[in-house]
Amino acid sequence: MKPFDEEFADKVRAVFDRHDAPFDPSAWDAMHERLKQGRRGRVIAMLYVASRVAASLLIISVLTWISYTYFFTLTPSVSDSGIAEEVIAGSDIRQRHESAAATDALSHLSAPEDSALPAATLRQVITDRETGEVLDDNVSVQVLIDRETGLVITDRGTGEVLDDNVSGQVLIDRETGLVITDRGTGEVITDKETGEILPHRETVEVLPHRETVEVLTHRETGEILPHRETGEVLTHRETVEVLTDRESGQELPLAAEAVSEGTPTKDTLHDADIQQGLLSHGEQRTLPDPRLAGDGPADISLPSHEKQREKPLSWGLAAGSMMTYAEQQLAGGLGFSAGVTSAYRVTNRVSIASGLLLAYQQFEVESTPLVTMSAGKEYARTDMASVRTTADHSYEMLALDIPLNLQIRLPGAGSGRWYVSTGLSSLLYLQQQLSGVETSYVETNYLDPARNTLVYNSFTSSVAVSSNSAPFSHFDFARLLNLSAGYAIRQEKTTTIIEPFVKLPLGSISSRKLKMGMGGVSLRFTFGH
Amino acid sequence: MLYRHFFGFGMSVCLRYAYSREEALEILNDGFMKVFDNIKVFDDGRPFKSWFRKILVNTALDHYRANRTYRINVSLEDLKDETGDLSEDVSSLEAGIEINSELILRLFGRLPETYRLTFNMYEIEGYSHDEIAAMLGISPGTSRSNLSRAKKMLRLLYAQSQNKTRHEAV
Repeated sequence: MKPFDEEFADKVRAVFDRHDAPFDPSAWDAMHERLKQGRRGRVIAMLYVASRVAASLLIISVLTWISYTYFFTLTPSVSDSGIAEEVIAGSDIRQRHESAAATDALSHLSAPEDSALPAATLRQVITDRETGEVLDDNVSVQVLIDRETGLVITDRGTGEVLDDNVSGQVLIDRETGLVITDRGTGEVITDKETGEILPHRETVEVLPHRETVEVLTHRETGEILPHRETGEVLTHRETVEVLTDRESGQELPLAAEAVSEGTPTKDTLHDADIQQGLLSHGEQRTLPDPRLAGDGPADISLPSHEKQREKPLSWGLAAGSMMTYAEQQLAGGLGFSAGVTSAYRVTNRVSIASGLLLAYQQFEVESTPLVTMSAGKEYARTDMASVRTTADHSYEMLALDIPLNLQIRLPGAGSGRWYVSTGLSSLLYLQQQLSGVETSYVETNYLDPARNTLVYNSFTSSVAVSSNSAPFSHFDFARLLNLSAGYAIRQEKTTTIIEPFVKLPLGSISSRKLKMGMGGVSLRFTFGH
Repeated sequence: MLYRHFFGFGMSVCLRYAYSREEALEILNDGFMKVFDNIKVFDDGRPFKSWFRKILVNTALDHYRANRTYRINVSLEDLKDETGDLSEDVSSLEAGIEINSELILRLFGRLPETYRLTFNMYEIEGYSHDEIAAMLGISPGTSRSNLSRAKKMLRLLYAQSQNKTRHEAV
């Protein structure tokens, strides 16, 4: 005997499956009144959407401004200047300093992808009523599919997916949308609701019966078990869809469209789903058998099954702006990036995100120290006291940012979701252009034998520099640490994500060996959940 | 036509989530408004009823979030005080359960809303505890606890109603 709770739940399900409240005209009056106000509501909705867009833009602007003003002072990363040892001779300095100390910029956009929707975690476990052993049961939905179009046939009046488990044939009156069943001869057809005999108004295609054969096996022994209700022998974890000719009973080949990915047959639970976290372990319960509901396949749809159809892989478009810092300086000018992102949902809350983003930044850094050198006690022999070289550089960079991030969704309810992500970015440079002026301040000294005093001289010299690196000449593998926190707003089919981010250097990057980071805000639209 | 045709089905869903018929009607009409607004994006290849049911459940959850601060719930302890120890009575009821929609709605009406939501979403709609937790903003453990308490409370309430029926018969 089933426990009280289980039986009670079954009864409740059964009662509600049968329950059909009578139509209330006053309810429709209230509804009609609301529909009248719909137009005004749409205007309000448009204003609401516009306000959300405006708020998003405002947030991005404010965050960008904050980043521009404060960010680099909080997270400076200073590299040791590579000192180019030179012998300064004469008053002209024409040396090019390939120093490691400079400022650079590069546009990046972190690209964690949000699986957004809570992953389906339904574990469907059915126990044998007699033995109590856990069985696998593949709940299936039988649908009829037009062999020519591949579409699921639905009642035009009600929108229900129709099937005919008895005769295997469903005919739909093309004019009225009413379901007409063939009693076997193909000539006399009756209205399913009224029973009235109807003439065959036109040639309505008789579709073969599509059967779903279910098979149950003992999970551990593999022994084939009979179906609990029908006693049919079923096979393990497979749903075999068969099209049979109603008259001859012969199997027909499945139309290619009928087995396409989009066909809404909710019929299998695979091990792969369990491994992907779609099905949680540790819960054992019996779901209502849709075949007992008596309400047609339309009632069978379970949320987790629907989510099962959602692919764990999603993609999106991203765009963002950011600032770059290096050598305790914030680069002048904003960079931007755009590209595609993708994410693979590992569990309910965890996704692995990647992408391909084209990042561009043009910026200038002033007074960057390049070379500082002092003769110290050796001045008497070298005649040189010190040399200090600084640079005003202008950089223009274009790179492909390839992030690989781990994204974790935080617990929460509603249409919005907070999440954090971290990972690494690799950079493939398409363009690296440097131009600017490097200025050296040189101080020399010598011992004047006539006066027996030390005489100092100083002078300044400048040189214009420029360099270009060939495309794809440099690749930085996992040199940037991505940190971001985002807020995702789910719409009907897309998710909008606002995501402030920082990218911290794990080493020198670019051909010029710069140690630089970025920070900014990105806006992403993802498709699929 | 659509409204009339799916009114009964919609009400059977909404009544499970509402404390009164008026509230159920409000949820239903809100759900229909969403349907009418989004009917263009409905995929003809999918069953309408399941789409409609999902909309109604989400609408009911919206109502729950909007009104949860105004609810007054009965605790399990209060219920025990009211009904006494009915464990023996409950076990005797396992022989057969006779319920109808009116009784269920009456029993549901006495459940705290979170318990009722959890019971509905888990037992009727087939959501998992993780999904329920995400939708209600609670932890999966709380969802499990709510379900367990909902079942316990329903057991007590059912036994109470049966006792009352027996007394009236005597």
